[in-house]
Amino acid sequence: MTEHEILALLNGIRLLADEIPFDIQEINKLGLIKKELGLNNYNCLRCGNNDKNKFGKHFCLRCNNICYYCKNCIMMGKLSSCSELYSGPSTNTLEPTNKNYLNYDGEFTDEQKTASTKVIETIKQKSQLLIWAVCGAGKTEIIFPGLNFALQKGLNICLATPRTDVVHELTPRLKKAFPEIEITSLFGGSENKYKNSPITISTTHQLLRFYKKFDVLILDEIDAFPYNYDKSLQYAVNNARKDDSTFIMLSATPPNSINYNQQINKVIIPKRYHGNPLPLPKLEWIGDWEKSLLTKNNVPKKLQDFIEHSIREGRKPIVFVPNIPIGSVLQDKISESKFVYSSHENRKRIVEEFKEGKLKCLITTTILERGVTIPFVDVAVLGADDEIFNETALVQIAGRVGRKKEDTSGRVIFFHNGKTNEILKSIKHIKKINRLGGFE
Amino acid sequence: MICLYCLKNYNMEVTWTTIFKPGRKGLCSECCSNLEPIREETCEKCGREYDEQWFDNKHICTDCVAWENHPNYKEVKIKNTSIYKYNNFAKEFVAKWKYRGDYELIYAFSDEIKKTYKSKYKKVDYIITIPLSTERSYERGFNQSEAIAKIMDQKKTLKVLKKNETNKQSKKKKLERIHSENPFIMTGVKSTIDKKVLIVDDIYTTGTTMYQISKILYEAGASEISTFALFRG
Ligand SMILES: [Zn+2]
Ligand SMILES: [Zn+2]
Ligand SMILES: [Zn+2]
Repeated sequence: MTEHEILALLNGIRLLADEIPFDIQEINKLGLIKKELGLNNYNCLRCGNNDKNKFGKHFCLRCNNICYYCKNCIMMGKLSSCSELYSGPSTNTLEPTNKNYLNYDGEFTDEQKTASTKVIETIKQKSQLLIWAVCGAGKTEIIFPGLNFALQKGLNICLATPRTDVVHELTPRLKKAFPEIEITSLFGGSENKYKNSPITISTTHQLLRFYKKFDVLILDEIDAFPYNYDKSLQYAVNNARKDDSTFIMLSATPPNSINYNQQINKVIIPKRYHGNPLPLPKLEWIGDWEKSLLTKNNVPKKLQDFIEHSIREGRKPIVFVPNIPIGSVLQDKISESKFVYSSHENRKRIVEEFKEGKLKCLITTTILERGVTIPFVDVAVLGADDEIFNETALVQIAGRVGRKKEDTSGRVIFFHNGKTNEILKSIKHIKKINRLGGFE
Repeated sequence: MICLYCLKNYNMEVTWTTIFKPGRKGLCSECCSNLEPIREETCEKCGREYDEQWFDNKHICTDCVAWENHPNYKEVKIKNTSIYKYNNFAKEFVAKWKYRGDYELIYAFSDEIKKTYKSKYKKVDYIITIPLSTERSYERGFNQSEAIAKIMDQKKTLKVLKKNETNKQSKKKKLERIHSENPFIMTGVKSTIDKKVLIVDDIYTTGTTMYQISKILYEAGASEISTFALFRG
């Protein structure tokens, strides 16, 4: 074990003694390594849990005492009152340079240009920025010049997203845009563990082990499940950032808490990059379809028509369903269709098959509501009145349609058994965005 | 209420038990539904639920028949009781409890363990717990067998066994040892003479541990030996 190895392992990373394969006595001698107790009363230093109900206690054979432990983050390795967390300083991998790292020749619209300038300013000022970009505004591309600027300054960058799917989508795009830069992707079950690369793409969950690592942290889809309600993930984001750092949030449907926060600068991109408005969903009442589907296996006639019509026109229909039983029944009843949901093992492959046209129709739960771009899709929501489809989800789902230049049309239909407030709010939301974008 | 296992909030039905025992910890209905209690018809020896694939006759399962023919354990009679089947959920549950170290998960079974203890083992003199090696004790921070014994009756709990950790031998030799030698040693030899004892563990899979310890206790003069394992694999 050398000092160099320890500093490399704990480079902006905080670990339990159990996770460190070196002699702890030796580590304690190193001045640069910080040692902290993992729990402070009912406060978990690693995940931020401070809910009394999410701690346990027992007589601990390690410290021969009654010991508390955090249940919230126990799957990352048990953190008890007698556990210590070790962390080291974060170092940067790139030397400052004037060299251009960006390999991207796409044209920016005026709105995109304004936003990307804002990103660079925010990085210079180490401040906070919200980019409110309508679905299909090309928000990933907007940050490219900013990333290039940060790389030139030799800064540590992290792109965090609540969803594993989005990590998979972003990684190849960023590798293509920055071919010389080493990129580490982290998600549950990934093998690429905590390397010290200039760019890290990570699920918000995997951020929990970082400690004051990043100069620039970009958080995608701040409104998305599960970040909007899991405060331990917010805690992780704040821990992963250096004290003096840039924080940029991206969203198509920002929550009010961030939208109205005075400390966060804002830039809005109401137009899609191809200059067309968001498609306005059509509402179709189909009565008590659920009972008839689950008891008699009857697929609603209007949904059948929608799928057939879409396929006949050479398009790709996606049907969003509120739960797994409904999706499973539909898959059996609709020919050449497949159903994907979050715990489905072949989910990535099925989505690929659908993109390639090997599947006629895709049925999905809300897991595909974001981040997936497939040209020539039409979208139906079966049971748009179900409580799982809130305003945000419905706006996101409508945003799946017409994302590519070569396909700006495409239909969105919300099938329901009674208009909910959320349905009406989503329609209002889309109309407002289109108005801001100059469409009446 | 927060479910002990999945930490989700759930509504507990208000019953007499919940009124008299506020703050009682439990599982949500979804986690509960994943547990499979062992039904009444079981192997007379190991407590495994009757299932054609494991039984040549109605009374004793094929595993237990094999143990009857084992030269080292001829004199050992096993009488085991288990509450749940060791299904996939139970495996994940035990992994989180024992290996991840979420000690309090065992409280999900407090009522069932107490119920079984009161109905079957009221007359035992001692509850014998199964020792861990020093290394395992440190790794886990607790002993799973002691955690269950504590729920039954801590006053009757007796720690008279030790895990033999003497010589480091090569892997091949270790394998040989498993078949021939007993890894447990008795430390308080006289305490169990003419006593009724209950051996307690979390899982009964092959039965090896229960047979090894039963044999030691039998040789130490215990008058009656029974075993309890929360799960039967
Ligand atoms: Zn924690
Ligand atoms: Zn302890
Ligand atoms: Zn048996």
